[in-house]
Amino acid sequence: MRKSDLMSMCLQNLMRRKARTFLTVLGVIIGCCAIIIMISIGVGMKESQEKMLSQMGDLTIITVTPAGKSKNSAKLNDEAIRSFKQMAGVTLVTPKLTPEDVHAQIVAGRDRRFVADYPMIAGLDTAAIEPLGYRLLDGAYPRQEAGAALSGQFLAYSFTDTKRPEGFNTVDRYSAYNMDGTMGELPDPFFDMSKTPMELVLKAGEGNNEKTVSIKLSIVGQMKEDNGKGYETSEGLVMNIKELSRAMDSLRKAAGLKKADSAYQTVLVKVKDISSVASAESAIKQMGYNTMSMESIRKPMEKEAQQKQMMLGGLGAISLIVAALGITNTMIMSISERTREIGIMKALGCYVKDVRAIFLMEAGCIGLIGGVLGIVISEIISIAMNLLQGGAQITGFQEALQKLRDVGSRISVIPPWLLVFALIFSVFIGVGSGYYPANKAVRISALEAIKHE
Amino acid sequence: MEATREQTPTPIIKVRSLRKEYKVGDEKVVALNDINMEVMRGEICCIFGTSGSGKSTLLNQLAGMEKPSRGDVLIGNVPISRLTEDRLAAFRQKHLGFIFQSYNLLPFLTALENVALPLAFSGVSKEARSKAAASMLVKVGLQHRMQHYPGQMSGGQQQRVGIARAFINHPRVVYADEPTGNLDSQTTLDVMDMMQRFARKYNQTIILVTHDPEIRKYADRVITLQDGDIKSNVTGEQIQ
Repeated sequence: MRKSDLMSMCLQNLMRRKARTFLTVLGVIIGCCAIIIMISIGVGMKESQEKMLSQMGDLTIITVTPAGKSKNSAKLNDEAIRSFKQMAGVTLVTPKLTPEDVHAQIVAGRDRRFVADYPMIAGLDTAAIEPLGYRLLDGAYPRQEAGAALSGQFLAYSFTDTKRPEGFNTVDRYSAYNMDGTMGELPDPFFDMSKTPMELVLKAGEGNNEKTVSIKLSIVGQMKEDNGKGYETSEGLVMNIKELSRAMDSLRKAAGLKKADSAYQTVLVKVKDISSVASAESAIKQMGYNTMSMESIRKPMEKEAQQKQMMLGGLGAISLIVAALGITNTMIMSISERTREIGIMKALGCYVKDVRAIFLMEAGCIGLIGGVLGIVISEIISIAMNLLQGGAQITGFQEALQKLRDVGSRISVIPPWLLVFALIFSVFIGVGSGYYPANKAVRISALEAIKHE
Repeated sequence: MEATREQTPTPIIKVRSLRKEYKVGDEKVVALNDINMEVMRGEICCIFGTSGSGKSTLLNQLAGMEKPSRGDVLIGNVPISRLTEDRLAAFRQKHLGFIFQSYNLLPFLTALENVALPLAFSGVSKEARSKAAASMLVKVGLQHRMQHYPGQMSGGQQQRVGIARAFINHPRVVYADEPTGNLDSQTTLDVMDMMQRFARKYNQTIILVTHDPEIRKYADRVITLQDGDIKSNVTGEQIQ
């Protein structure tokens, strides 16, 4: 038979039993919608997760630390840094020095009147500060000038005034926060850092043995607070690592402490994009270092999201499989009703393959129609879900459109591949569930035509 | 040519030692014992017998609907009892036609589509087969019923559609299984006249199964079955 004849025969058969066909198609529609909506929720979750991660910190920075303190463990020294730099995808490597075993203070004003105790000090390659993503509110990035440093956004509020009594010796920046969490006008700090001479004081040792080293600071810029970068951007300081380590060395020498080896405690490695993170990270790990990056948070989250997506998709798939049983059932019913017809067709010379084709096509058509309608309906459901989430009122078309495009806060996201997949899957389910009935039909003998009722 | 064919008739159906047995439970039932027969080209052959005589089984065997337990059925020189299902389908499309007792028109197709159906199976285009079907329907006198569905026609009209369908592919052999079983006597005569007319006109062979003695007068050959054996095989004058 010609394809067109097969097709019209199949459609005629479907139209003969409209109610039954409709109900079977309805089953497929529900199954198809279930799959699409479930997976779209999974995709939406992933989207908002990625948005959240990118807010948490730079996804392309790997923090490298030595694996252990023993002599055998790999040293995080200049040689290691050079080999990191040669790795594929790595754009920047810098050690990061934070004085840990010493007592750091920043003092300012005449007679060291203002003191900030234990501020977060970070030493970095000055050239790396900008590429690493430290953002400035004010001023410029430091170059090689002596004592040049960037202050954290709120460093000015960590000073206490030693000339004032307890309770009145600090400026509370949190007083600027309103009850509802928004920030109002910040109070003025005690002094203007850019106009006041400041010194970084590092102390080691106890009592009479206490030794100090100090560095005169000049604040060249104010950083924007960024929790993804570290506390130094808030109430801290970023300065040239060479100056800081030189000061540390001389302090250790004066205090009779063991001279620090040439290894760093922390090295930051920046790669060119997210996809390079995993490979660079595992290469560094293989060299014997500990690594930390958003990747190690992103990976499990991604995996979890995928699992959730699979689970949701699986739930949807169950309903489509139930629909498939419905198709099979419908087809078996219709074949037992049409036994005589099939016998007649065979007696008149219809090929076995055509009989099979007619029934597979009928089942496939049910899948196809259900799939197409399912796609349309799930798109509508998805849009409705996104518009109605959070009980927000939609007043205008523009606003609605913007809400639908708001990446990261949408509940349901239907990527084009999902539609294609759902359609193919529905047709596949249809044809698949028609397979058994079609074979049943094929086995019907031409004799059925002769049998007397 | 016409003259020679009439003088020396060529057999179109040859049956050789045909046996068919069924298993009913543990018992073997012999439906056809040992059938040997020939039907000539252009003959109207009536297979006559009471119910249970094996006449329906013989028709099924002659039409290749069932495989025999033993023996052969040849149409032309094709052993249809040995064809694969696909070859058999192709053979039916080209060479065989069927007329059924209960008409067996497909209820969702119009008279025209029903008549055209065998041509659809062999892949003839819609225009060509509609044209052929229309001319067949004119020949059976149903030019006004072409777009009617089987349910909208009388039994006699439906059987005429059935005849048109059986003859549309100009088959070598047309099988008719109790074609008038559901018809009144006047319609029976009309239908039989029509079948005879077609057979004569195109020199086609008809195998006619019936239990109605009246029908025998249309036949050139009457084969009477009894309990799976041929009781008599008579031609021409002997029939009456």
